[in-house]
Amino acid sequence: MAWNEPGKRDPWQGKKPPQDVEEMLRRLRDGVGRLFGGGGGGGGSSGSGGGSGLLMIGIFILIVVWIGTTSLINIDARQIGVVLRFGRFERVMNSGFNLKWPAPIESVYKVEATTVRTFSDEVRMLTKDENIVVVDFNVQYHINDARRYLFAASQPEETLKQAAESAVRQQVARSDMDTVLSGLGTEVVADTEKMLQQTLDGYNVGLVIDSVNFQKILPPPDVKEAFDDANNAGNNQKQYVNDAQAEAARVIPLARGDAARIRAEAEAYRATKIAAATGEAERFSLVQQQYHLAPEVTRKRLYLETMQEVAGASVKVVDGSNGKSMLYLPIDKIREDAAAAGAAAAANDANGNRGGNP
Amino acid sequence: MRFLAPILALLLVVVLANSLFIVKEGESALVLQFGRIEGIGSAQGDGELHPGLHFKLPLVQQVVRFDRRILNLEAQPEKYLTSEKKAVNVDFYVKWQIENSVTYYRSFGADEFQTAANGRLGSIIKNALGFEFRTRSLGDLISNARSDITEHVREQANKSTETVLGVRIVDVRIKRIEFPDEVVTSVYNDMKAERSRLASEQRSAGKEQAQKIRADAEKQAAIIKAEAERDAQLLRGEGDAKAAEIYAGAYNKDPEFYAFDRSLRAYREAFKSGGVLVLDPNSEFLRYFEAAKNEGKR
Repeated sequence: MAWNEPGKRDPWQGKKPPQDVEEMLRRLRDGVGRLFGGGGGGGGSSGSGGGSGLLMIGIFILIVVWIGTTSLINIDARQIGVVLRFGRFERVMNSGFNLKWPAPIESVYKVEATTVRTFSDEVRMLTKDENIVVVDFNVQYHINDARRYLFAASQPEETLKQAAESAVRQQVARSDMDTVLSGLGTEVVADTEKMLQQTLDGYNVGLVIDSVNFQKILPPPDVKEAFDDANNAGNNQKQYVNDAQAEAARVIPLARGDAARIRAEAEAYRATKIAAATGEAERFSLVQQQYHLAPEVTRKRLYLETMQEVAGASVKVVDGSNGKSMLYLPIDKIREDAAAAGAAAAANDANGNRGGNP
Repeated sequence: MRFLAPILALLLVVVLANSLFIVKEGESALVLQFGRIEGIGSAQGDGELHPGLHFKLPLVQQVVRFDRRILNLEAQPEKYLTSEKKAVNVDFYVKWQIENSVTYYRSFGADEFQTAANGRLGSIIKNALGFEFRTRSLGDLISNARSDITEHVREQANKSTETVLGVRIVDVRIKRIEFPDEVVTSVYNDMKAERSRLASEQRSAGKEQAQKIRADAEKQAAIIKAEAERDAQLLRGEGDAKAAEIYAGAYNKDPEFYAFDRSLRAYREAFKSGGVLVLDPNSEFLRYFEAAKNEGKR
């Protein structure tokens, strides 16, 4: 019963050959049954010629249908067909219309060969410095050898996953966590691709790697907070420096302004002093010239004028005793009166000259 | 008589179906006659049948098929101790292939789903790996040595499996090395500690830099002001000196008059606010005070 059990020839894949052999054989057996049945009937009565003719037509149609369904094979543009003759690899069918021997002599297995497939995974890995990172990666691949893909290795997809995880892990284990987290460069990616391809070639899976991508490499969620804080610390550091620089930018110009003010004030002082001295000296020179012309009179006049002014503002006591007798002077009382008067005088004199003296 | 033809036909079909068989691509087969492997030592080889159409004696001979593809053995994670007695969970897979159907059949029987072989290989590899792990440090295991180790394990294992079991080990590969959960927690704690150390280091460095910048700015500001003060004093000194020179130049012409003039001004200033003035009637100021009174009396 080996012929009509195509399913059993493929215990791993569960794929059926495209042609429906079972159905065809059933019809064939029906035909054979009718042939013999018809023959038996023919022996008993006449008119068997018409039944035999019908039978021949039936068999012919069956054969045509059988060949049509199992010999004419259409291979899609994305597919490759692998042809086995009595279970043994015979040839590869490319896309388009193909012919083969009818089942069960030859069978064809179609494989979606050009479709790019993607496998992605997120795994926890150890880095060189025994820290843990979570790597999210994907692998894009396609089938480049359909015969190997089908018949050289079991579970090609599973194998790819294993090999990919192993290769990525090996790359991650080569670097420290900080290097890994700062992003794996293109040479690492190229390295991974190469390593993975070599591994897969050793397993005869017939797959070719298009690319390996590291989507995300992150610290594990349990320590994310600490990592975020460390990142913030970097920003804080910059912030502190920026703040200080801003303050420096404020303080120094202010100091320059102050300095300019101090200098200006000093210059003003110098100019004031010189001007006052010049004026005073001029005044003195003028008065002195006049004094020279009439020394006695001028001297006396100046003296009296001054005394008038001085005595005018003061409480006057004339003591003719030449200091021999004791005068009782209630100085406190006098001063109080004078202070009251002086306050009034000062108020009147508020605009009086108080020019600086040398 | 009329039933003979169909019976014969049926018999033919049954016999053919029982004597013709197909070995598919990726398989090999042995033919057993009452449990004995047929064709051993024959010209075609060790009785191993390759893909294609084959014949056997119907009913008395059985066919045993073997999966000759590269097969996958994925073992349960295994706990190992490294040379520094750190525990790690190791996940590995083995790729293997039946190399010799006859030897394989003798070791494992038909073993349709490779259960027996997987079990046997698994324990061989586990032992070999365990030995490798015990003799190496964790750092070594994690980083560069992974492929080394597995290559070594593969070679060791192959020595026995190839001849004894008819199995070739294609590759042994460590899929993952992981810490047990309790160690993971402590690794996380270490990572956190390391990060917070880095964080405070950066913050402190930032503060340090900020302090330096501030201090430098303050220093510059102080210097700028101090220089301005110095210049100011110089200017004031110049002003005072110049004024003194001018005064001296003028007063030197008549020191006597200067003393007189300046004294008068000093009196004026000194008594401006008022006070008690005790005057001698004989003083210059009151010279005519008494005289006038006397004249009035006269």
